[in-house]
Amino acid sequence: MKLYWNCMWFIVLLGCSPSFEQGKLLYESRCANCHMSDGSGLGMAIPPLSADKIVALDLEIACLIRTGVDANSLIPMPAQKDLTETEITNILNYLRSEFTDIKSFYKPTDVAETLIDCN
Amino acid sequence: MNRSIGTIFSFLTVLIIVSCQTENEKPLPILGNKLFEDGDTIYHTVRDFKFIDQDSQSISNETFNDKIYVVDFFFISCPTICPRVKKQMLRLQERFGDEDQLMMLSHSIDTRNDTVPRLKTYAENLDINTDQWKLVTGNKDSIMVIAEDYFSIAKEDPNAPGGFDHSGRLILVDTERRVRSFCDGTDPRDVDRFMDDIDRLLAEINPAE
Repeated sequence: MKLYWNCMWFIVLLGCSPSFEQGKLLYESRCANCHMSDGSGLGMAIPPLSADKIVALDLEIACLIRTGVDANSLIPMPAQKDLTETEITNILNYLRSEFTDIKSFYKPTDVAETLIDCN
Repeated sequence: MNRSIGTIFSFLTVLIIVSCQTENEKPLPILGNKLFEDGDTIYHTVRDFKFIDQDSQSISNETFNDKIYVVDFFFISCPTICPRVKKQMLRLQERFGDEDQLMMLSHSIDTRNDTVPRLKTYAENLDINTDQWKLVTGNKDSIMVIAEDYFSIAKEDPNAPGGFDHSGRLILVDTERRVRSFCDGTDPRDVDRFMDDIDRLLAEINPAE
């Protein structure tokens, strides 16, 4: 009986607190220099990663990461062409867990489908 | 016996409090090599300079007459530490915005790309108060050389991200062009300590306060 409860707790914890370790590491190394560790950005030069924006852009963020943003702007966002679908998924899920209240997360297949249609 | 131990402890406590106070009231050190000539001490100072700011105005040592100022080196398209440093400079602007004896001076080291209009746009995008905080460009070599006077590093390096190697230091200069403190501009806690140093230097030039 005790073993049963221990197992149940383990499963519940796994379900409730998915780990975003790789997402966090990638965010810190690829994104946080400009968007800041707390997602606050830099004035109007670098947009903040607010909850509203993360929700509104949804899977489109995957494309922005892969293709970069607006080469003509003052501080263009560089394309991260070397990141795999799984790595981008991990970043997206880290953004959701860190900056929004959303408790559902993307699967690599969702991101892979989106990336096919990126320009 | 107990009483004398108590006395010793209270004496020690008083001593510690007193010594901590004097530590904070001590003037900031004057950094760099010193020369001794004819009984006088000659301190390291920042050489003459002349750059152009975001409004095409000339910026020189005279701009900072009777003022203390904070210096950094950056470039707009910098993919590494610059935005973090600028975030901390914005904290300084917020904290010392009303302090007319403090100015700030950001040197672009990418003199080819960071033109006057681009510096202007950058200042607007960051909500920089350009009365207090000047963004300058100028002769590339002059900027690289002046960085040495501030004990900072700025050099072109094709292997560095963005093409430039530079430090994220913030440097505090007094009214006599002497460097008095610096911090790692990417580390908010070090910048907290640096802001205390700015307060100390402001107190030094306003002894009546």
